[in-house]
Amino acid sequence: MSSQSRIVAAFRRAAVPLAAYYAVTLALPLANGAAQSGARFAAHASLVLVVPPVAIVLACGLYAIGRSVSGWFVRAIQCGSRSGVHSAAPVNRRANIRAHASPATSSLPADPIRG
Amino acid sequence: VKTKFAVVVAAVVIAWALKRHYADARADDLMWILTPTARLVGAMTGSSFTLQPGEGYFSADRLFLIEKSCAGVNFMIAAFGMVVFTVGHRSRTVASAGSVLAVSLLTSYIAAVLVNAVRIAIATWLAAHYLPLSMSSAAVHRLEGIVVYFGGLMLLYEVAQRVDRRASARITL
Repeated sequence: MSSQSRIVAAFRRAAVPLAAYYAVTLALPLANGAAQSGARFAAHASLVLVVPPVAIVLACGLYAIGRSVSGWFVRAIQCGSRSGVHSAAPVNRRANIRAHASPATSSLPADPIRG
Repeated sequence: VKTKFAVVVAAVVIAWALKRHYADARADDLMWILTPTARLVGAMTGSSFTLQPGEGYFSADRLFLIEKSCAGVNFMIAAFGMVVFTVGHRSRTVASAGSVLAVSLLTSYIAAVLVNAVRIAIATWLAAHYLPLSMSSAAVHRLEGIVVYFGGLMLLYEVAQRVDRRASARITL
């Protein structure tokens, strides 16, 4: 999943909480005539409008960083646990299965379909 | 469809009533939400909050007042509307519609107390620690409030959806 599509998915997921938040912090005060307070409400509204979307984008960024860091750790642990193999290359499970199975005894096709 | 429409109307009326009560209430009228919040903040921060009649709950050691505007009623209204929206499809009979509204109200109340207590606990920590920011303490407090309240709504929505999905799966089985 690309970072852009991840952000789009996050916004889709946050649509209901975002709508509820905006309804209470913007729509209700506006309905009660908060717009008459002018600059004060404008400052509040701009902050309330901007911060949640920024928080969503930041959370997506942190999630992506967390995933790549944890993936790097998992790969490093897997590489370290393989005896005699010191490679930083990503572990390919299918390649591992093929490498460890003898061609004469293996009944697995070269690229099995897994259901 | 009629029951679902009735639930939506009832939810709007409850939210409106909550808003009206909050608008007209003094701090003493909001003890139903201020008291558990103050106790929870006290448990989280280790400081004691004492009731100041007409003001709210005050912590002398933190110089922090949990007043009417800190009650979290607006969060409760947002959470209530959101939970009704999430589980509203379950209202098929009058009894289930009543349950949906009651569960939504109770969930939003518990969520409001929890999230508001977390927000105030963070706010007291921020007030006690110097942050090398170019923002005023009021702006930091406001920003923290937006982040915690919105984060709380996101978390509540995820929990409500998961519980709803699990309940649906159990019914299907």
